[in-house]
Amino acid sequence: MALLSVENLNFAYAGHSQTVLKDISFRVERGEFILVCGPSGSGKTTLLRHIKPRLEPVGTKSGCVKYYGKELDRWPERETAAKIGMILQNPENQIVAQTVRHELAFGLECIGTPPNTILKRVAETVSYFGIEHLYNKKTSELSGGEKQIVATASIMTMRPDLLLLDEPASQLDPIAARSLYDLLVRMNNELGITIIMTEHRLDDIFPIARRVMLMDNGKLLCDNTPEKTAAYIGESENETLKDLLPAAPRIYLEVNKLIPQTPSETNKIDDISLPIMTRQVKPWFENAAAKYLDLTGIKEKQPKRDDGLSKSACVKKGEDKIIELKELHFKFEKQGENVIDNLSLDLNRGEFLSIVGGNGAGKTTLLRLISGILKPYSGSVKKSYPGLKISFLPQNPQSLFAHDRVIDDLKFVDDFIRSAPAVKIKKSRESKLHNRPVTENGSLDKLMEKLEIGGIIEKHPYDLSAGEMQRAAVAMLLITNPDVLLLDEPTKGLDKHSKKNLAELLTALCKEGVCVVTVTHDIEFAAEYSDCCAMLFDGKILSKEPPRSLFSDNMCYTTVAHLVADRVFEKAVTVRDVLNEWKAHSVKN
Amino acid sequence: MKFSLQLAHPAVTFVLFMSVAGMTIISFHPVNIALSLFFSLVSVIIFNGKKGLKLAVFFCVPLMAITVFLNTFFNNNGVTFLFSVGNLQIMLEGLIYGLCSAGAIAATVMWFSCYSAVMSSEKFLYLFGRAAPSAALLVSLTLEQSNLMRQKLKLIDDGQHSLYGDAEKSLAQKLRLALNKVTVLLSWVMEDSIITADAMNARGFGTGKMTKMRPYIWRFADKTFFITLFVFITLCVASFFKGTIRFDFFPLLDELKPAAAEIVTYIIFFVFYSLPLLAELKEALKWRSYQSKI
Repeated sequence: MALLSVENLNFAYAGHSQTVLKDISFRVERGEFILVCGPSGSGKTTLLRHIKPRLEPVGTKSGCVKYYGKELDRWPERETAAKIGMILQNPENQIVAQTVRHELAFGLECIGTPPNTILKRVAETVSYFGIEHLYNKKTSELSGGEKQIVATASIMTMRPDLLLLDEPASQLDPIAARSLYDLLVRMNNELGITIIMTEHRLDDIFPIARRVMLMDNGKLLCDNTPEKTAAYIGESENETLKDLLPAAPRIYLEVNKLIPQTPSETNKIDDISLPIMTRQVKPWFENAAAKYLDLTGIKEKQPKRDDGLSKSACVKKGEDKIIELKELHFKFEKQGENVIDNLSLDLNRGEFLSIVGGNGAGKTTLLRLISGILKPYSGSVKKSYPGLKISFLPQNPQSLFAHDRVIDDLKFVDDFIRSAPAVKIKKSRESKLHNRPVTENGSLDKLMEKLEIGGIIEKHPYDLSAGEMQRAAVAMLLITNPDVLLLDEPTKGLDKHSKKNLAELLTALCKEGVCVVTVTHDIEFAAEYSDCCAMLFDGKILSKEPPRSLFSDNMCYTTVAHLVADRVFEKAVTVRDVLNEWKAHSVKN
Repeated sequence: MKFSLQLAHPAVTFVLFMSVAGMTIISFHPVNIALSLFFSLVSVIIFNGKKGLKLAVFFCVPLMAITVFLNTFFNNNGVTFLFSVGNLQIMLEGLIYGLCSAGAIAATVMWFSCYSAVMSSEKFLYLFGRAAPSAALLVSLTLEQSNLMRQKLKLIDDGQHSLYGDAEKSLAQKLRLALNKVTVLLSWVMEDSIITADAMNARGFGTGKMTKMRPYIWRFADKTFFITLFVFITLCVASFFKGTIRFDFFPLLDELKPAAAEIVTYIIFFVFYSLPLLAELKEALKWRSYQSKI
């Protein structure tokens, strides 16, 4: 008997006429590993919540969800609470207890497990997960990644059959995300736990899932192996859907279109399935390149052909420089290590700079230093003129919204800026007043038009998707007319399409002369969209280079596209680069 | 550093500190209070280190000064005239009473500081969680939430700094912005607590009676310590009812008459207040002799 079967499920939220789930049917056997993907707002989360009793959203529903052949609501509550586990998106909020020990026991306590059994189950789970080092800690001391692992472990103590995960890694950095995925694969392989998850990091998940469901607009479009779903996505006419395709199959697909087709070779191009692993695409790509491309002299030709490659391209001189960081040092404690250690960096007008680096490299601290929230221990942040406005968007855009509608927030900031046109500037212990450029009437309307946020301004900020919320927050900051816009992890929790929209917005701002600085874990985003990239390591900026030069030097800390194509095109770091190079070198027949 | 009282069963730690603090307040006897004050001071320095010393010097001393001042100047129930300041007559009884209350308050504060050094809120919840699991959980969630709120406030400050930080503000605007921050925090916290509620529901919270994991067991050492403690509490309470540790301040101060019964009582109290230190001392000695063997 199937573990789970969803039969003709339709659903609309209470008070809304729009159906969020449209006639969804599928069956899940024991031990499957299923990824549910789709653009934001396609109904993925709503679907997952229908499978978890007690989290089912309120609204009108038809059809049913059966667990082992019996409808979910006819099972005893305690049984389904234990057998169907759910991990939510945000690691901060799904932790209930103050100590890891209590957190692990919480579920078992709730369903009335005898005390001696609780301790034994907790001990077993801690040993299996290898989290002895966390067991005696307070939950507030854990990192985001550790919290998600503890949350997973605390579900595991209840011995579930089925684990539902709603974007479990969207708030995590790539390393923490990968250790969570490894754990899931292990649980699936070794314990036979069935997993259904939604996720935006499709590049990482496609290779480990065994079945991928594609949803759009509440419909289940495709439900097949990762290879076949990838092919379906690749064939799609819809741009938003196409953005979902991971880089490796995308290169396979796009390059295939460029290869002159001869009848004997058509059987090689499999329309129904696409390879999804880098290790599959890489040798294919190298073979195809050897066969179809004229690669003579590629290595000598390259630097001349693309002047964006020279390392000095990012170091502009003269009037363009608006902020100069000079030998910055910063530490939190007297005895502590330097978080920022002798860091020097120039920021130029109209530049889109991405600062990449691992956990604890000091990325957020650097932004807080630039924005003036923190003062450097030694060294200086020199502005090119005193009234220079720097705006900083913290990791959580929630920290900006104070009203029930986005438009009220925008108006509040606008009114404030108008009523306080003077800016206090501290310079050698005396503060001077500087006048801001006067905001014209109707500038708010123009801004909203420019950002295309007309559709969301009437909504409550918390009803927005992650991408929309990011956009609304940027809009608030733009009212203050910043010369420099600092963004802390702007792509956190965003799907590929929202990232693209955000990048377009930021690029447009750069063209108007704003200097945009993002710090991010997301090297794909940095490589694809920014003018310059800098790697922050051990409190220092190692180099500031164009992304093509920085990432093409790297062997592992680099993009998937570069990993696939590095032996053929040394300098290609994005899918677009690979395709452009291919076109440039293909033999004209 | 781990204290042996941290490893003890929470019930032992709880009863120990509650009883020493309680006994300090129950009996307003100068000797009792002097003993309690002395041992609480030593304990707070042992358990809390520099922080304990700071608490004693910068919090307890000013608190004592105020208490002594108020009692000396405004409590004129006594009869032994010392001197007068303006219209105020200063009495010996008021001064002594002030000194004793100051000592009692300071000692209680320091005992509670020791308590919090060895007793986490989780242990407290463990003790009372079985009787009232939902109330205990509520306390735990609230404590956790205050932690998260502090982190959120930092992020909110960052965001607000970008929007309004460098502008010249009027007082009304400053107030408005402060209110703004509170609104941001509240809506954020509310939104997040919905997710916490989901996470709890998902794990079967509210499906019926809860049980409680028992991570602490009664060791032999806990039992013997608890019995010792119990004996001393009984002796202390008995001497209180017998009147050997009672003292009247008003209208005229009692005399301290150190008869045999009183001296025995003082010794009992001396040992009683030193129990937290003895527990640590025993552990230290044991470790020392153990170390010399290996």
